[in-house]
Amino acid sequence: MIGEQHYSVVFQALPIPCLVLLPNAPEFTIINVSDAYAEVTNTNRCDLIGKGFFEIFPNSPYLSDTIWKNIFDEVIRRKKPCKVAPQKYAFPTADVPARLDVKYLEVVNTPVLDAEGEIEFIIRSMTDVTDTIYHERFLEDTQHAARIGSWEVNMARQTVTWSVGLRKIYEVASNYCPDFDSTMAFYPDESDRQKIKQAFQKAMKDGTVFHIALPITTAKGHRRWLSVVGKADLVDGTCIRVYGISQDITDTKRLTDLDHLERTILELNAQRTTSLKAILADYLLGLEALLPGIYCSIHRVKDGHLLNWVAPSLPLSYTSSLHNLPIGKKTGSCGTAAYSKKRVIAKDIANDSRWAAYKHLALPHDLKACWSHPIMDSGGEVIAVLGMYYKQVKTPNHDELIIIDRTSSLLKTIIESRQNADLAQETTAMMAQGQELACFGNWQRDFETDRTTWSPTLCDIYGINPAAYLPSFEHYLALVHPDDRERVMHIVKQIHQTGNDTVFEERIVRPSGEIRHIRSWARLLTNGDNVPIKLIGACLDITETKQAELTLKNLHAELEKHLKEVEESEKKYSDLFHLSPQPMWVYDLETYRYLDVNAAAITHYGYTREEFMSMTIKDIRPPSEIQKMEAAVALSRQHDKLFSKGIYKHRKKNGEIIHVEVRSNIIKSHGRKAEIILAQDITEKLYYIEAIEAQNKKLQEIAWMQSHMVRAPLARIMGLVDLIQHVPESGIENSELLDAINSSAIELDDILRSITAKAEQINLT
Amino acid sequence: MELRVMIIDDDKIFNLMTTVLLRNTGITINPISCTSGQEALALLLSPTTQDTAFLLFLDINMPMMSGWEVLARIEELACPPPIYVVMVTSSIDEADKAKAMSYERVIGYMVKPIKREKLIALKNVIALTDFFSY
Repeated sequence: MIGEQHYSVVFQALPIPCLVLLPNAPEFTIINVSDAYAEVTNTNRCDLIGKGFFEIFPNSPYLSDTIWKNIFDEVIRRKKPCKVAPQKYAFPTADVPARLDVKYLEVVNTPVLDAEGEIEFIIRSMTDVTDTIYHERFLEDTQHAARIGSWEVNMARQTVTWSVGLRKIYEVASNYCPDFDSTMAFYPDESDRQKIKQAFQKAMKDGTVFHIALPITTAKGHRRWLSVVGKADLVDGTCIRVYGISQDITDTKRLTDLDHLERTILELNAQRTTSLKAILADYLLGLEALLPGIYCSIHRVKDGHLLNWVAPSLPLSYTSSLHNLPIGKKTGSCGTAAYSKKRVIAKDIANDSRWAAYKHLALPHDLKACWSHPIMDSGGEVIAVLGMYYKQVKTPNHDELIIIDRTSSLLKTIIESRQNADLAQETTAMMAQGQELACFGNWQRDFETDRTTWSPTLCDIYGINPAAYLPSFEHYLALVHPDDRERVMHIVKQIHQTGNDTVFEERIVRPSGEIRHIRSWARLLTNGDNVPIKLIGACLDITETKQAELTLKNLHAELEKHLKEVEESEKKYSDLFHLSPQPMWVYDLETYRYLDVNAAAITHYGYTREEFMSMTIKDIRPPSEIQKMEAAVALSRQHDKLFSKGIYKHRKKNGEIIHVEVRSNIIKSHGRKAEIILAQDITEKLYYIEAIEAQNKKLQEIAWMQSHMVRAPLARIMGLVDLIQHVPESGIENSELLDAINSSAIELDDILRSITAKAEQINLT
Repeated sequence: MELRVMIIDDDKIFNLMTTVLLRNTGITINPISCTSGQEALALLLSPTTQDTAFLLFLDINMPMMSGWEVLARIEELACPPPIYVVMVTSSIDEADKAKAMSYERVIGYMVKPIKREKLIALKNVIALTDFFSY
């Protein structure tokens, strides 16, 4: 047993800071002090003993005076130990009293009662929980920052404890008292509730750690994803508690899901089996699933107008009303974003000036907020606008802005890559088509792989079967025309030596023996070290062009020859015209005016050239011939070609009328319809003809006389003689017959004399 | 039907000689002699010529009306009796013969003087055979 004086020593040596006070309110005189207390409070034991508590500690910088002065009220009233929650206290430091050392102390005021139950002393003991408080604070701050909360299910007491962090995640009040059933109610899906129950049961059975991710709906109705890690505490196989932590992974989950969505969309886009519109629709539906309450749209921008493209969840009547709207400064979120090339956040459509003219389109569909982001191609041109609608007034938070940025970037990639791919495919198709149409083929020789490839059209040009022909430089040379081969080899050698692009023409011989003309382009590609890596080129079949050139050349030569012949012919005909001994002239069929006359006409008709050129063809006709001439000209006017001939009367300058045989033909003279005339003066000829005709008439008369008049008496004589000889019994006297003969002879004599007289009239000169 | 033979020539001596030859060759006993075309036409149009066929020895060269004109008038008759014509001429112009043979009713062409053989041969002309069958 220790003596009373020893208790005092023991008390002083207690590691727990303690004060012993008298309950003499309001002084609360200090009657003993442990060394630990003096150390904690940076005081001296001697300075404290005998002094009133509030004399030494008149106030606290962290508590109001009222609370401070009443810190012993509860112990005096209850006469039981009273524990005060850890509180912050400030004590002067030993070195510099002006500085305060802050400590968190858990204080217990314990009454010491006398035999009558009255308080004789008050022991004020303190536990320094500064480190614990700091650790708890740190843990709490860490949990808050990581959005982690801890929990415990006490199986013995059937209680559930949540940390402050967990309460914040669940968005419940700080005094919320959870239990198992109410906790499960935060999981909206029955399947999820079953999952967590099964995880608990398994953990409670075998003590394993479980880890599941499930969505909850918070007390404020927000949907969040929790990653729950739990472990059962088993004692002798009996679970006494299950504890663990839950982390709010909503953002992480959203980003993970966004990653997954983006990867899926990119893979879909890469396959090219799905249309771009379908891919974009899938993407927007995925975004709408990730961001509940959002409605997305993509409008194409073309020629300064918004064109409907994809809006899988927005009402069709709304998107239709936006179709073909012009973009501009205040044309809703999308129109303004497309115009300004900047993101536009309209948190409240009803009161946003940019929506003033268009809010009547959105509000009937309960669309109250719209965030729009322009999608620009690599050239900085807006190709589309992403629209994100909410049915409540809403400003995007940081994460949503990140999602908008990511979505915009991905849309740019998808749309542009698809457009480029489409363009590339279209270009490839057009190139193949173009090669086929233009007989244009290309080739390349890879020096690294020593592989040569020819396009199908090139194989066609060379007349070879690509399935049976292995392209190589040697095989190519074998197809080059023997006369061109050496030159081609020299050209290729030059390309290798100089690296210059080269264009050359060559002839090839197809396997069928057909010769084709080719124009070839070749370019040597080198790597960064100037080492040749590829020789690429293209060939155009110019056989038809060559043949056309040859044909053209021949035609040109023929044309030149023809022109020369025409020139010679023209000169010949000009000479024939001007040097003709017969009068010739050309006159205009419309005006009758002379266009040209030859020397013979001038000589024969007596007019000078100048006189002719001022006259019409009417001027060389006697008036009686004008009508006949006009009829002939009228006939000629109706034809483009008409050779005609006729006899006309002309009048010379001296007034002499001449008969001319006119031969005419229609020609073009200096673009005008004209007639060329050859006039032969047949006046003398007609005279001779008339004379000859007159002689002929006389001769015919003589012949007639000989035939009829001379022969008549002669035939009679012959008949009479025949009668006398062969018909003696004619019944006619011979004397009568002889008289008849005699008279016929006289008649014959008269006729002969008449003929002689007529012949003498004929002047045969 | 009776065949009446007419000699039409302005030369009376020729008419006499032809009459002798016609009788001598048995073509007809009493040929009718006309010295002009008008006279011959008048006879052809007279009523007595009904049911009578005519064989005309027609001289081409006659004054007033030539043999050709007589032929033309005969062609113009409305309902002529059967008339067969032998054109007779002293001309040796082949054109006259060709012209004469172009008439359907001309069955012969004789150049003066007329030969007995030619007249005898005339009997065998198809158009006349009915009149000289025995």
